[in-house]
Amino acid sequence: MHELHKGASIFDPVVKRRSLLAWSGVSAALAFTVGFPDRAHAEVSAANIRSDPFRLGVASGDPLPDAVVLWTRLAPEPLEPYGGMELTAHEVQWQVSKDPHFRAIVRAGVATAHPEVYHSVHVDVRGLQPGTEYFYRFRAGRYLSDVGRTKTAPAPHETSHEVHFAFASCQYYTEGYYTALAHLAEEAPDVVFFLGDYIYEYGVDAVGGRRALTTPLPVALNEDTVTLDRYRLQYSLYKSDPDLIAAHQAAPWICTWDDHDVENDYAGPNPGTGGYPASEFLVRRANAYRAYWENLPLRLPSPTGPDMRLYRGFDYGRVARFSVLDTRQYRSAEIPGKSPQPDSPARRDPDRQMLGAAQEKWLVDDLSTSEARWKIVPQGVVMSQLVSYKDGVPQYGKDPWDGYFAARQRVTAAVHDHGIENFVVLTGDAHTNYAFNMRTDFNDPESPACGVELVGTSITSMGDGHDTTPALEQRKKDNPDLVFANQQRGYVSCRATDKDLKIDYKVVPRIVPRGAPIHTRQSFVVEPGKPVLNAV
Amino acid sequence: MFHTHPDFSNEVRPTGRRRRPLAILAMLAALLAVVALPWGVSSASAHPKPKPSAANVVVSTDVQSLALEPFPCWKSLVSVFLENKGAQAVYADAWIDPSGPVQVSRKLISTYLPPGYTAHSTVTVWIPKGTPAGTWTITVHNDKTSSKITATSTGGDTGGDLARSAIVTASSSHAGMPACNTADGNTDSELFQSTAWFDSNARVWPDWIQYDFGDPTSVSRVELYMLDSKKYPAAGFALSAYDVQVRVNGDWVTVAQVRNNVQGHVVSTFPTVTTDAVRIMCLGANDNFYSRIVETEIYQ
Repeated sequence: MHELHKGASIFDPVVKRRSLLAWSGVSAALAFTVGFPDRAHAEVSAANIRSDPFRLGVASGDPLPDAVVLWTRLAPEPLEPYGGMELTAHEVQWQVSKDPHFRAIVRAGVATAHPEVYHSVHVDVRGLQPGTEYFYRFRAGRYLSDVGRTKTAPAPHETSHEVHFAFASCQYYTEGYYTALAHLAEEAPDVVFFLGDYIYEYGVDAVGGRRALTTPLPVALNEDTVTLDRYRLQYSLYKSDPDLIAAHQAAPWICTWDDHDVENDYAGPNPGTGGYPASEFLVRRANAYRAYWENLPLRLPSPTGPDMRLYRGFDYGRVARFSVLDTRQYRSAEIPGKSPQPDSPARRDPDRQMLGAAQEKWLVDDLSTSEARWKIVPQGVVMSQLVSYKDGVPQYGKDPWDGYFAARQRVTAAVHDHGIENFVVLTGDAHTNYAFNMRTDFNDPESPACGVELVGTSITSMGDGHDTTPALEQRKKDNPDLVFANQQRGYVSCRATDKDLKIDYKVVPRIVPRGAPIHTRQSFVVEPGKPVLNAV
Repeated sequence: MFHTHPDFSNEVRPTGRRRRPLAILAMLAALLAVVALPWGVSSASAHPKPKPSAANVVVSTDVQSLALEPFPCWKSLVSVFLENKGAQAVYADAWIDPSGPVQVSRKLISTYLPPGYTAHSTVTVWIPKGTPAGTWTITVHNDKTSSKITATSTGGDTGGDLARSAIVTASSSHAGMPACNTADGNTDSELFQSTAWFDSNARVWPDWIQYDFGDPTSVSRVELYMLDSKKYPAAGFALSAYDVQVRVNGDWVTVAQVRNNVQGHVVSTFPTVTTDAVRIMCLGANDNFYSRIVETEIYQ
């Protein structure tokens, strides 16, 4: 048993014990699940790690008032099998400090990087102060990781603070550079929400697409991700990007997924558009979910085969409650046919699920029991109605909530019926910035307003983009509740207080080459009790 | 040893703090240097020793022997199966170990396996250009079971056809009909679906297909076998017009022109040139739809 840092003795030994138990509790659970390290028999290597294993940086996530998850992965050679590590466990030390020079260390400990989880390390650090900035790092052998910055959530009853959050999505690697993430890192918000498509499942050619790398990537990357080794390799490639590393190291992240984290347009147990056998899809999903969990700073338990609980809530004092949704795992199959397509009884079938019954109930409970000013729902796909016309006939997308009409109606009706005020939806997927005023019935301009939806554009998907296009202009004409649209790359930055919610849509002019500047393209303010976006 | 105060002061430190462009660039450069491997994974690099496990997973392959030739276009596919014979779901690995110069597209397959489930993956196998004749093994295994494949090469006898050993690229390729099909030694139009190249831009001209030799060599004759089967005769479906070009000092020079063609097999001869690449510039087809070539042969 290793002695803890001397400073730990100033803490309540009960707290210390609880933190040990919290960590070992998580590990004990892991030991009994499939394919997990047996801590009692883990062969911990005494061999030296011979080169820097922290090539993918560090990360933090899932912040609570008194806790945050720290993450790293040992990978001296990220694009080799097992990141170039031997198949033995290694000890990894961690430290949390109030200052970036580690003179005021508050928590410290030792974790084990097991080969069964690809030498990833998740540490649930407890006993922290609320609303406080911390710095953290890891050590393995002689090597020190980068220093990460993280921040706990405010105390439960706090009303006076500002919650400075950002959200992003869709970082297709081969389209170009993560310039928007470099700027996000500089902004260093309190928390970042990533709304899906962290990886894309497609093969990566030798030169990394538009990145035009001069040294070829391994040929193992040049096929779609279907098996676990291939998903792990995809995370290894994506997570070696310096802008993504910087963004993770600047703030804690709260993540949810979308389709490309497994396969384009998958829905629950139903495969998407890749053409792979349906009978093999749940194994593919199990591989994808496992690699997702291994590579992100999640507190929740790892997947059990093809299933993984991801929806969860976070309170930021009394200013904001974030109800993070999973809009893929529990979906009913998409309706057949083209997208977009006209309205149909199938689209409106009340049995078709977007969230699944359990998650839908959880969401309504979460929203209706919250005492926070803002009820914010980070989730995957466009919830508002977004219609286009073909020969005068309205057409709706199959994949977003428009394709799951009854499920959307149930959510907006619940918001209205329960009197849930200040309902704000955060969305990705569309590779476009949109801002919607939401109604209980989008086709009736007299129907009650129920909230706003902020759809953030992609980090890279769809390339450099344009501020607007003829199709986008037509969208605005066809959808009166769509008050903003832009098709460049970027992210959205928000500041929520008891008094208002400020929103900045930030965009970059290009993602190839690197180094483009960022600017605020459009700002909005929302006032409590008035669910409408006010352009600023 | 661990001190009461974990002392990080003597450690190898990163050279800066959070945003460290130079250090990050250095890391990236190191990363890229590490992955500057030959195309494929060298057999000289050992993989981690498979960890003994309690799982009951059997690894097997669809073939026990393979013919390989040292041509860039010659890629063999091997199916690898991982079967979970146990009563519990597991995550399992299969390692692919080639000997000698043999290259494989992946050295590791990992997957979730429900009880009783067999996962099927494919691995591409090839040998580099210039490999002399030989016999090698590819061992596909986990900690308990293995399958050995014997791979043999005759050393790449092409009968003088330079296209067989070239790197073949094209302006575009229809799904399932890659440019390498024109350098596979098969001239049979009846088998065009598995042995012809089609471009993928219907009615868009010109298309091109190119053969890079690496080193400059003498060339004086190019033979094309275009689509000419019973159902799709040349008069209806072969190229109507094309130029034969060679690259000299970086520039393309036309050495032969074919026009008003209705033949399946066309031979173009020209004064001997020294060149490192030949290109067929396809200008039209008799149905104006796709460029379709079953085989290209290039001789000194």
